[in-house]
Amino acid sequence: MRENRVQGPVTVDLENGLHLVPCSRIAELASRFDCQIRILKGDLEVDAKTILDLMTLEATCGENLVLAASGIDAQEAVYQLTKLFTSGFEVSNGSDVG
Amino acid sequence: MKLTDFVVPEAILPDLRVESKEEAIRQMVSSLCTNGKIEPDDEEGILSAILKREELGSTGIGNGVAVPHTKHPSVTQLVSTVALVRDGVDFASLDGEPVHILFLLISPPDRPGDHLRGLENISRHLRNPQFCSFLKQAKANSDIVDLLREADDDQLE
Repeated sequence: MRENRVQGPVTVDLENGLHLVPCSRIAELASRFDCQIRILKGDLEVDAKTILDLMTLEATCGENLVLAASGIDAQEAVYQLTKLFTSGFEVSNGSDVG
Repeated sequence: MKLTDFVVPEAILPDLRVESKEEAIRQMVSSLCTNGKIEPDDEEGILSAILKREELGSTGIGNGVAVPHTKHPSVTQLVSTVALVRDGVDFASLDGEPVHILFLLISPPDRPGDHLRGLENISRHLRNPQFCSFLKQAKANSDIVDLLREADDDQLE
């Protein structure tokens, strides 16, 4: 089967940036897919299925990132992850979490 | 930002013996208090904020590592300590495995960038298997401080 590659831009719309809770949500969702998923911030590229990798993005509010998936379910993975970003991760922006 | 900028050397617990996640967090917060990095009056508040954060989802992020943390107005800069639990402690981790390495982080609420940078720094080193392996072998407080310094100077990769 032909390798399926999909890319899409996302923006971090969280006051406190991409802290541990959203990173956990991304990794959890990404891990449900078979495809490889990378998140790019400039020259930096990390594995979207690994929380420690995601936290090294140090992505602050308003930061533009790129989702890049390759594999059989890449299209759905990028769609679902983009939805997670645009929904604000359904996490609190409270000052005592992170 | 470097690990040695915010990890308090005297507060490191190289051989923490605990039965529960709550006890581990309590002892780490207490160690920061004993070493004058947080006020005794704030100790319970900080502890309960960290435990409340854990209720949102465990900071046991897999591979035997946990990063319990909170933002708290009682600190004006990042404050952190490290603990090693030889036998491991149940942390309700994402991978279900016991936790051996803990980095506890307290950040000022008005500086979310510092909080992210602290987490970035800790995460970057914890994803290096050599760092984790050396950390687990460290016996004394000074071994851990030396290792943090080597990690800061990129001498481990």
